[in-house]
Amino acid sequence: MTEIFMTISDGLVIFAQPILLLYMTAGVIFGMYAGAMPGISVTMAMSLMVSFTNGWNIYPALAAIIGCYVGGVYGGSRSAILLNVPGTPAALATAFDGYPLAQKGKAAKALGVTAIQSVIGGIIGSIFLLFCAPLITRFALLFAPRDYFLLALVGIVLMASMSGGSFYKGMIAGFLGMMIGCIGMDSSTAVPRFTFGSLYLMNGVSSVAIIIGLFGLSESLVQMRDLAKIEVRKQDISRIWPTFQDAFGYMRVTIESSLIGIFIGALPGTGGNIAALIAYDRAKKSVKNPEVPFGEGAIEGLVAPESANNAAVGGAVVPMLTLGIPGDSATAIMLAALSVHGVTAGPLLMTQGDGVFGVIVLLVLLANIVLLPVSFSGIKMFSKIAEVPKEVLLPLIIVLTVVGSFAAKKSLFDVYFMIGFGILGYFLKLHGFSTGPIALGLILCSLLELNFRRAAAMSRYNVGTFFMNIFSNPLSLVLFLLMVIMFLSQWGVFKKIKKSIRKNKAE
Amino acid sequence: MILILAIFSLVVLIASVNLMNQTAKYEDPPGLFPTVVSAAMLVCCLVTLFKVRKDALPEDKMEDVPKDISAGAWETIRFSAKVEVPFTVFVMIVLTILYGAFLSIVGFYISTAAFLFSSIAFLYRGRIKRTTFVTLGSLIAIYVIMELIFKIKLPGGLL
Repeated sequence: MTEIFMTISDGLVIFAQPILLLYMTAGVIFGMYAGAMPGISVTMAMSLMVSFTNGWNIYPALAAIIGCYVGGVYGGSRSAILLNVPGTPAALATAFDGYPLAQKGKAAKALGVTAIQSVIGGIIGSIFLLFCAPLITRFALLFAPRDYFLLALVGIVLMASMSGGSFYKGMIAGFLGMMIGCIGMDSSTAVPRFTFGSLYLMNGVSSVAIIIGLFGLSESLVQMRDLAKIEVRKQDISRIWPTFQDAFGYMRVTIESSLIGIFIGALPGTGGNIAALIAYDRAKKSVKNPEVPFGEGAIEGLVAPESANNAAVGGAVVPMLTLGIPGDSATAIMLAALSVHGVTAGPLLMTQGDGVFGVIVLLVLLANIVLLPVSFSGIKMFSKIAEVPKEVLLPLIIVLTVVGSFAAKKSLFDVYFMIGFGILGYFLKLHGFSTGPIALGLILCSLLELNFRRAAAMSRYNVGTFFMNIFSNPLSLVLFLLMVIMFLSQWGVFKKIKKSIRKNKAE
Repeated sequence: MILILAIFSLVVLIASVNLMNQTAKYEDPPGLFPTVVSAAMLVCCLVTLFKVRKDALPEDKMEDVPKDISAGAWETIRFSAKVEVPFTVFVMIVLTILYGAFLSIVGFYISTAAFLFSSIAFLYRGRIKRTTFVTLGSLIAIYVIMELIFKIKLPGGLL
């Protein structure tokens, strides 16, 4: 309980600096409009925001970045409803019923419901963050280096298995990210690794530039393959405020979906997109008699994904703050932003982070509250922006990626890296590789390597001792078994066992 | 792609093992982690290659692939290139590389104006007035936001 009060009192510093609320609101607005634009994901908007706020003080920078995160997750629903093109992956499930509603001329109603549900889901997620993060921090202090190593690896395995497509391709992407992270001078021995004699590479490659390239440029190039398929429609938006029944009449689905969002979001390597899909699926199974069938404009089909993806924000911040392991790609960028400002996330952040922990927790809560008035703004104007043809939008996004990658360190080398990795990302995506695990591998590389080397040293570089240490510690054993189970499930071992049991029973 | 990544991971593995040997005097070898990572990546690449071979496209799904591959290697390369990089994407990749290359020579504003104008004109097929308006509007917006609000000086170039 003391930790919770400490977090709240640390967070109250926001009210002593009202300008932070202004930065946060600006971040929410930027994130919302960026997320609403097809092609600009939350991750990309956040990476641009990180590069813009690079030289700022830590609190204004965090206020803008967190605002951008919360606004961006909600913003994706706008283009999903109006154009059937999810602005962000987290809004994919919103399009299932949002777009049919828009086709029926009820776009305003759909937009209003998503706004209210996003705010409720976001607030539930923030409350979980406020109450659970301090408790998890206490638990995280028990982690040994090998536990950190295993947990970070679990995160990458989870993201690889949930990123769609082949599990092995996800793992290859994760390892590729780790290899990129190895470039530069080794932090403990000062030995240059894979630098080819270049002074620029001695400091390693800029993770922000690479992430902008992988998410922004590569996605723009991928979308250019199907320019002709995307149709821009005109929308009639006259009334945007939902009725009381539309806003609060589905509380059971809202709360259930928010809890799913929190749980999925808190798993390292997952995020709002998976949470929204699972919540949608759950609502589809649990709501017996919807007014309109799912997939044809059911309000429950909007309520579930929207409350889940915004609740996942609070959930995703938990492992990032308490363990230093991001819950999704967006929190991976937040982690990079924290390190840019000299803050190390992890179990010691709460006690030795000069109040940063409490400020982040309160900012997530406040950003969700601010989202309510902001989410009802500019719906009419957005319908015009959403009509901007992709032929104009995509080159503009490429220019923004160049600006964003340059602004991070004011280095042209970063721009070249961004372009190089953007083109590489295009080919990887084309061949079914997800770029999420690359970003996660890159961000987690230093944490993985540091703890792997510590754990290896503790076991005197003996593989047998390394595994004995894992098997003799309950926490390490649980994490190890978790990873083994994930691998086995990917190999279809459980399905085969189930099948053979059924076969035996039938015989 | 898998084959390229497999070769890449093998090269990194060899380089990492060399690094391990060169830095054997250190108690905490800097090549250990890259060796483990590249070896794991190589294993994943080999498993995926094996799976790709196993799940090869069945005969009836091969309609679009040129039938007589032996008749023309050039035709096969052309087909693969067209599938991998359609003309629009190819032009945009070239324009983006040129944009990056000219940034350091002519500076941000000239290269951005040239990139935006040429790419929008190419994708939007000749709507010159609107293209010019978007290009100028974007440059002004970037100047105001980056240089005036965020105080970030964008590259000036050599000229």
